[in-house]
Amino acid sequence: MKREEESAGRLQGGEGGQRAALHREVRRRQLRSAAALVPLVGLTVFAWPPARLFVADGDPRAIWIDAATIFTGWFLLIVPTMLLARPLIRLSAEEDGLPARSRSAERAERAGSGTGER
Amino acid sequence: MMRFDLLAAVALGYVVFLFLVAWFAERGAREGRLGWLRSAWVYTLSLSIYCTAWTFYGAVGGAVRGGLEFLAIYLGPSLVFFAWWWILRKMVRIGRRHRLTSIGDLISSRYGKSATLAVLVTIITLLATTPYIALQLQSVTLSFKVLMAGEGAGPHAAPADSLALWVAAGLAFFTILFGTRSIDANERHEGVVMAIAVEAVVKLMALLAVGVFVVWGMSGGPGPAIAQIGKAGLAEGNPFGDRWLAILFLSASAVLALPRMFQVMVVENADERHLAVAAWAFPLYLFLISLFVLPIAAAGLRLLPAGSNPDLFVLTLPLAAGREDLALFAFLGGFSSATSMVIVATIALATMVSNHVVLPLWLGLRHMRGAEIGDVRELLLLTRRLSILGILALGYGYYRISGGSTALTSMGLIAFVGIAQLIPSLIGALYWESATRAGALAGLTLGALIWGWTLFLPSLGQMELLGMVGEDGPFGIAWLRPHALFGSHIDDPLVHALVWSMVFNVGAFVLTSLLTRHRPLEHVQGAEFVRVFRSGEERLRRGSGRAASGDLLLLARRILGDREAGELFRAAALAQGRADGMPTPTPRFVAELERRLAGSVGAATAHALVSQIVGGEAVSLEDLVAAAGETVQIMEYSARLEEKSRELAETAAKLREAYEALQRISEQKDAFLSQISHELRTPMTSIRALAEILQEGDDLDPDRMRRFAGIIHAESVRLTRLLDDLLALSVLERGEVTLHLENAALGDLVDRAVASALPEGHRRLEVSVDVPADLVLDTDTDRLVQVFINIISNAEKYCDAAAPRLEIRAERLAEDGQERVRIVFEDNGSGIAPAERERIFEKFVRIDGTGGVGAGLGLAISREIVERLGGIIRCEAGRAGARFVIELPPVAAPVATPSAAPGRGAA
Repeated sequence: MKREEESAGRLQGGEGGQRAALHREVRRRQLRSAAALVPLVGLTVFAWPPARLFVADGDPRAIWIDAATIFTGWFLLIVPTMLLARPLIRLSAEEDGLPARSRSAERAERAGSGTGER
Repeated sequence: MMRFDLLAAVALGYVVFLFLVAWFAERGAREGRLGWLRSAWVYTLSLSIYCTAWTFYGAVGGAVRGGLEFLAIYLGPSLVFFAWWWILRKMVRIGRRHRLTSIGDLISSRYGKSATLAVLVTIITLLATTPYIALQLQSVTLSFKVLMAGEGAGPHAAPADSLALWVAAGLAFFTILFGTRSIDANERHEGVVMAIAVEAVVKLMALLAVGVFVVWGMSGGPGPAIAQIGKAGLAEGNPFGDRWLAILFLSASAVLALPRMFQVMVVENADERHLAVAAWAFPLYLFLISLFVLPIAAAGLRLLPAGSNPDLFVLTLPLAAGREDLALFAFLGGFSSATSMVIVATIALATMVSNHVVLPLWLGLRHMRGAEIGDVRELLLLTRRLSILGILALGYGYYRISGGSTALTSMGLIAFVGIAQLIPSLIGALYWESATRAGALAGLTLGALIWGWTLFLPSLGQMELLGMVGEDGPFGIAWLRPHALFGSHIDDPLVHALVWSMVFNVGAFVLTSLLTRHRPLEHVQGAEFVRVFRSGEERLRRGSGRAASGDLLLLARRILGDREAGELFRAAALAQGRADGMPTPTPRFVAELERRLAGSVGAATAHALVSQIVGGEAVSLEDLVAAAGETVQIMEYSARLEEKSRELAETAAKLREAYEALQRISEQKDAFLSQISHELRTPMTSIRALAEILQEGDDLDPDRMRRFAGIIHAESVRLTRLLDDLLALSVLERGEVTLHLENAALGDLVDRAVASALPEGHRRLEVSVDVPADLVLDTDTDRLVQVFINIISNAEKYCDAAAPRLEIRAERLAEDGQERVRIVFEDNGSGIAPAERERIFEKFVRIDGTGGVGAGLGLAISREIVERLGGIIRCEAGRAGARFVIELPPVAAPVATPSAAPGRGAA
């Protein structure tokens, strides 16, 4: 009985491990997709600013509407980039085979490091 | 209005302040303190080096002239940083892994460490940076002039050109002071980075201060300021056309390829993770610095006199409002942005010039002279200082030639198009493994030429003077017109230059890469650069798997052998508590394995091989080069071992031959001793027996006694003759013979021999002699006659014809340009069997069944004599009987004997 329970436990652990691995892979792909999407959206918005869709030629408000559109889009792209920073750092560490570190560990390392890592 | 000395003091004081910041930062870094120096915020602020005087002054000017177009200059870099995960992370990773020191280093390293590419990139960046530096000089000069405008009309006004010269000289001095106090192997300048970070804050604060003042102090608030933007007439029409896209592309390219950006972004990067912060913080910085440009531009157009230079609104607006303090702060911001750009750009360029141009030249010259390399640090420092002076001189020269009146934005964009020529090769280096050095060279060369022709040279305004451009194009070739290349109708010169240079650059790069092949180092570097992240992924998959252990075992077997590899792995598995004999590749086991392998293949090779399998570290170029070096050494060692083996084999063969020869000689010696003892015993037996009979024979009759005495005498003579022959042969073989050479007619010698060998009345043999009377030999006549006597005696003894006859003839021969005398002795007997013809010249050989007498030494002695006289003797097949041939040189030079002492004989 005990052996069967142990086997069942290992089986469940195996399935759970597979689910966790799948979840991690999905998360990695999502992060990579987000890392690609932000600049692509930025390129689209900056190369062909959409404000012109709402502004007629000769409209004196055109310039500040254009400016507002660009500045708004600019700021809005900064925000997701900021939000993606830490997850992408962790993803980079995972891909390099390095252990993930907590924020306090990172802060402690920054406070303690005095020389370059090169 | 301000006095020049005040402005100069402020500028000087500010630079000294920056220098002190740099100095303290460097000292702190060296002592391991001030870890925050390497924070992501300092790194991000240092990236603001992108914003130079072009931003501080030229953004407003650009807004006035081109509306929103100025924004593209900051949106491009923002896009690049938003895409940091795909581009910048790769550049930084490659830069750190390969310890790259410049953009030229990256491109040349990727394409097989090409020195030519490094030089080409250096030249292009040098030319492209020249307008940029001129821009900074122009902006600083203009800012001085604006703030001194009250003195401008006086006799003590400083002319613009001399002011620019002083500014250039001052910048050169401080750049040398900042960047060339020592040589850092990693080309890091922590102090400069800190100074740039401080400068970034100063210029941002200055521009924001002016902006806040303009919006709230001069325009009445944000609402009115925005309304004024619409009324200011800041360029009309849709700004988002071809030029907008071109500037977007150019600014994105510039942030990737500008030497100063590479320096701060890649070389000075202390931690790759800082990119994640810079990815949003740097665009935010650009956002903030651009925020008040439009309001300042609109206010300037509204409040300042028509015709005012819009590039200087940042200064002139506060001055117009009576705020000299704010104007001074703005001046400081502009001056700061110009100086930091010049310092970092010239340091980066000077590094490229010294590393890629001067040092290889110097090393090449030293090598040619066979001199030792010595310490190159002093040379590097000197070349960098001289390069800094040269670069600033170029910038000043461009400023003078261009007249100093060009809009700042225009000068900056000319530089951007030049720098953009590096982009195809750079992107190819990072993402296209098949890109080749030839492709990069072709693309860079063509792109740079098109840029120079269509934009750089025309910007100098000297094309007409050079006679290169007229209405119909250079030398009347219309399709080479700089502003209408190949008959195109692109109105904007910037777009025109960019399109054509990129078409040729990318086209040549791609086509040439597809048509050319990699050299081995290009192939390695291509994989290293493009797949820089893959080794990490592989490490993730294979780090502790059985696959790695299996591969390690295979490797170990190949190098150590099955037995030793098996023992090593079993012992390691046991130590790890594993029963399957396959250890986990822990760092400890991997290190142990490397040590064992290093004993056979060298440390570098072992490390490279093991690293490939466990993926603990990518195989760097240094590892490969070291492994290749070890391999070369091993191959050389193997070659030397093979050489030694060959020599040993040859020596063994010689020893074997010598042994066999000695064995033969030993056998001959035994045979000789046996024969000698037989030859001696035979007559001695007769002599002894007869002597005993004579001794005991009292009743012997006198006849019998006389007969016995005669036999004893004959045998004694025979013994004596034998001993004489042996002695003669020994002397001949040892080369102790003394030859007495004299001229003698051959015919006389033959006659003498015949007379001695065949006394009249006792002759059985009939002899015919046919020897020309004029044949004269310079020879030892007695010895030669001895040879003739021996042969004639043999013919007398052994010719078994019914009427024995001996022919002796001689003739002169010419062979191979040499004259010889040939003497033939031929009888009419049954001859000598072929098998015996050579053997008869050996000692004690008598032909079986001939019933001949004698010791069998005659022909052996004859051969020795003839060879000492420089000739040969042989037995040939005659017409019927035996035939002996002697060949001698007509002017005999006897063969030198090995033991002949000086003065003895004619050897």
